[in-house]
Amino acid sequence: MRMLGLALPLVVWDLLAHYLASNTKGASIILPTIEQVVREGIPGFSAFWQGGGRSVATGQSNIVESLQVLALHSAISSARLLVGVLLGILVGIGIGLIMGWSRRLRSIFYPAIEVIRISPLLAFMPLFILWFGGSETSRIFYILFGAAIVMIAYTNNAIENVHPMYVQFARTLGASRTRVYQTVVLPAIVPELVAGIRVAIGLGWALTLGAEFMTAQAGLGRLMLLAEIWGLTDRIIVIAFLFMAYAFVLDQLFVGLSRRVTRWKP
Amino acid sequence: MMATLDRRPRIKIDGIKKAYRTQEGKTLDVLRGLDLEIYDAEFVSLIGPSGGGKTTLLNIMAGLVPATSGRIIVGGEEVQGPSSDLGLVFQEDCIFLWRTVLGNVEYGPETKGLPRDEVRRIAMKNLDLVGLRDFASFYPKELSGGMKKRVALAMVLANDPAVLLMDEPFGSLDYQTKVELQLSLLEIWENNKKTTVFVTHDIEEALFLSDRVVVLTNGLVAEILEAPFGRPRANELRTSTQFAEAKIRLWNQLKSEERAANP
Repeated sequence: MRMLGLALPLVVWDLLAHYLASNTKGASIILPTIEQVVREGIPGFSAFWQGGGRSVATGQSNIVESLQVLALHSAISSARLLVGVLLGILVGIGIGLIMGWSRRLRSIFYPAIEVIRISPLLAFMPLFILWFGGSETSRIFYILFGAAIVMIAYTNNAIENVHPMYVQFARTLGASRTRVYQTVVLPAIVPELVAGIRVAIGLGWALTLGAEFMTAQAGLGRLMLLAEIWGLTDRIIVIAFLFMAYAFVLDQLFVGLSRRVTRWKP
Repeated sequence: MMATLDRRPRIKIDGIKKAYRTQEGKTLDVLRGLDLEIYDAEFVSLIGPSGGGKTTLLNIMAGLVPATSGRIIVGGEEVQGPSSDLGLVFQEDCIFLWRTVLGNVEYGPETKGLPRDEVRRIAMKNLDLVGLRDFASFYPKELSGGMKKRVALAMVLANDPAVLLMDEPFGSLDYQTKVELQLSLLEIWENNKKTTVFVTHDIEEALFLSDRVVVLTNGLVAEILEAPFGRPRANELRTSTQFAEAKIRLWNQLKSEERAANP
């Protein structure tokens, strides 16, 4: 059943693409067919080989070189993502835990965090470009920022959701407030943090793509920009699929890894 | 008849008042100057209608909630805050879901800073006491309600508290499990003879377990009944005439208190 659900949009897409091809000029720019994507899109990245030196117009596609291009830029994007998100998660949880210690701290800082959290983060990109230029630092910081905001919100929420009864019970067992924080609050919030990390990773992909699109010299976002400029929709679609695949794989990997620490959850 | 001559009070509840401010700004007097003495190695039940302040009193005794005025003296020292000496078994399930059964029972001794093997020894001993040795590596999510209560009891006993406070611990359980746990509790109590204060609204439970039953109405001690049965107690007691008579007496007492409180 699930397979059917996944196949349906593909079928609709292909029908639409063929319909456009028979009706409109230059339909392959609007919506290429699946066949086009596979035959021209996937090997087509060889045009960007060695920094895009080979002209698109020569029409010389080489699947091996193309795959190498995709592999290289995938690695670059993934590295950016992993560094940015990892740092962001650490910073976010760290700040969240500090805020979680005192209700006063939370009430002071949480409103600001909430406002940022619900704003479209893309709106902040120009700020980072302004502060750090179009450098790698600006991109990493941007991804870090997004992931951190998510984790601060999730950590705060998780701490608020810890049932006070656990805290009280621990106190009657002789635990000091510090010990309670370490041995009751922290373990109790792990499942919610895991959920937050998944969201942060997903957001991280979006921010990575956005940042690369706007400022990068290399990476899948950059390839997408180049493809867009040249009107190579089939290549855009290939990159989009790659992104989806990577996001899915990373998410599933993380879920698998986190199973151990959440095995106690009823 | 119990000898009351040379028993020292282990717990002294002295003029405890507790008032809450409701959302509308009104004052709710939950406890109105309660005085009670509980003797060493005694098993006392606190019984009374809901809202009579039983849980509040227990929380104050455990040091979790400050009284508006008055004080609680346990073993000669005034209660200032929660401590491992004032063990409290809560009404709700609050054993730690993220620790195994053994990990839970180790929590108290761990907190005391005892060496690793001592912690393990004490934990296993108390697990044995509540009959859960075979479930040491289980997580709470795999346990039944009654088993979780046993874990909570083991956790509290592992700290060897001076006083054992229990807040309707068996309230959420079915009759069979309740009776089982009552018997287990008495068995354990016969061995450690800890001064125990047991809150319940179940008359049968109160009479079956206790030396004395204290009736709390409107934030004050309304009546204290001596349970006229010997020890050790067995299930047969529940169906005896003597027990039935005591039950009726207590029931009538509660009814008249209720009527007096709500004219």
